[in-house]
Amino acid sequence: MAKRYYVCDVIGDGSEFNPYRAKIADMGVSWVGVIPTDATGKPVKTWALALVDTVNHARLSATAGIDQMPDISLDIKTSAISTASRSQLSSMLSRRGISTVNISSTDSYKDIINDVGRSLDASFTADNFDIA
Amino acid sequence: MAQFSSDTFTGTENAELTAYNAAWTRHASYGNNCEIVSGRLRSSVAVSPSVYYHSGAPASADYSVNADLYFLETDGGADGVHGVVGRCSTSANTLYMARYAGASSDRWDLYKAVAGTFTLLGSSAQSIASGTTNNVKLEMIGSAIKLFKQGSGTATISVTDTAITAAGKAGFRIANANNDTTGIHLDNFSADDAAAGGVTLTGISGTGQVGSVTRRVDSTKAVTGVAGAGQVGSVAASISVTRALTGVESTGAAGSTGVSVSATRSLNGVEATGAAGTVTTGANVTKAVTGVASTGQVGAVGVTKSGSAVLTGLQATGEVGSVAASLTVTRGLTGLESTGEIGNVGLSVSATRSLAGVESTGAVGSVAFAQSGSAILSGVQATGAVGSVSVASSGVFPTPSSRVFIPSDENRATLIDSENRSLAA
Repeated sequence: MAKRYYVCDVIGDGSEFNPYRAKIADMGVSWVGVIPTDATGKPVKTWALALVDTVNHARLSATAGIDQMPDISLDIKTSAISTASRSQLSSMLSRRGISTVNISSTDSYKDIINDVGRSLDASFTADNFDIA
Repeated sequence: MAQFSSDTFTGTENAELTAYNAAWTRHASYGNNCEIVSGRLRSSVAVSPSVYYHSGAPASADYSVNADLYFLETDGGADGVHGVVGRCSTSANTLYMARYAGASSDRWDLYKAVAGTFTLLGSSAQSIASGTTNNVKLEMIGSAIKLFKQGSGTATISVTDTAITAAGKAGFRIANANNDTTGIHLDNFSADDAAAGGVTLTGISGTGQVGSVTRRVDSTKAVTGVAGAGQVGSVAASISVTRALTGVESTGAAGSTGVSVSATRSLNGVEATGAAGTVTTGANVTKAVTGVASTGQVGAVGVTKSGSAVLTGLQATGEVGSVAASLTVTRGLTGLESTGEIGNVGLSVSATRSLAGVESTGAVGSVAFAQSGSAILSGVQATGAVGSVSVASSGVFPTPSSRVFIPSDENRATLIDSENRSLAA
């Protein structure tokens, strides 16, 4: 089993048997997602940040609406992320309307994850975002 | 941790829950009953879920809800979607829920429901054997929402969510356990307030009305940025360092500022500003002392230094009661200066080399200068309204009171007086 961060679509209609959820929830994996909702319970964004624990991440990346983030340690310095990975990440986030201004200025990959999470929920922290 | 709700469901067989224990209320959004079976709890009807909440009131929105889930068949079989709920509104269908979903799901789920709209926040797959008891715990601390399973101290699902912040009530939600021998039954319910304290303490900072701020630092490197701002009773810094000490500062209305420093290298920038009662600097150093300064309303400024090298830049400005400088040096003494309204200026100097630039300006009561030396004395000067100036000097100095002309061989000797008149042919 290995964990990896994803940005994916939010699906569902909010009913008990079709709840709002990250699209990755239907892939039969263990996962956790940030899905903020408004006062009526509806998601405020069309996408979610998810952390997935599975042995087969390749299967997920081949699915439309599910975007992988770089498979690197949270402690890796931003400057150590390859240009190709950073460019791919920037392109993916931009396509979903997520700010990329801090991708180059943050200190570590963890800061990038925090930035993406906080664009969903201001109180997000990667330190309290885990799945076992 | 204070426990505010609990139940072991040891009631009469098949008793409806609220009849067994009046502390329970069936949520208005749910219409199905639950009942006691073999010291546990199950739904009275098939399929449709039930939610009950306990009357116990949490101290805040930070608390946990526990229950044991007893599996009568592997993974709950075709039935059983059981769990605990927290921050449960007693009116709207709003809650957080940690549950196990049997049937074909076979997983732990963390949910939220807001006004009847459900969002799945995370899932963790696990197959569970029949005849086993598995604890589930929902923990809510601020925006940190967690699911714990099977008594583990590590959360299985951890997420940040701010949708439900009101404390609400603790309870449970069960579905599809409609007989005594199938599905999942619930037991040993409890809810506990979150423990206080026992966490990391960082960023100790006091601003505004503070009684006192005391910081003691023993360090082998530099100490910087010790500061107190606002209404502070006192600021005391006791520092022992083997390297530089910089930036010890106190601003605002301080009762007193005391800086005691013993250092083996330079001491820079000890400064007090504002209405300070006293400023005292006692420094024993083996190198230079620079920049000892006091400005504003100062009662007294005392500088005592015994050193083997240069002493420069002693200065006091503003209304000063007295300025005393006692100096013993083996080289030059320069730049002693006092300006403003001063009661008196006393300077006692014993030197083996030159003394220059002793000066007093402004309204001075008296200037007294005593000098005993074997070399040059120059530049003693007093300006302004001076009561008296006295200079006492002992030594050998030339006195230009007469002139003498010594004749050459070519001219006859002529003795003249001080007005050039010849006294003899």
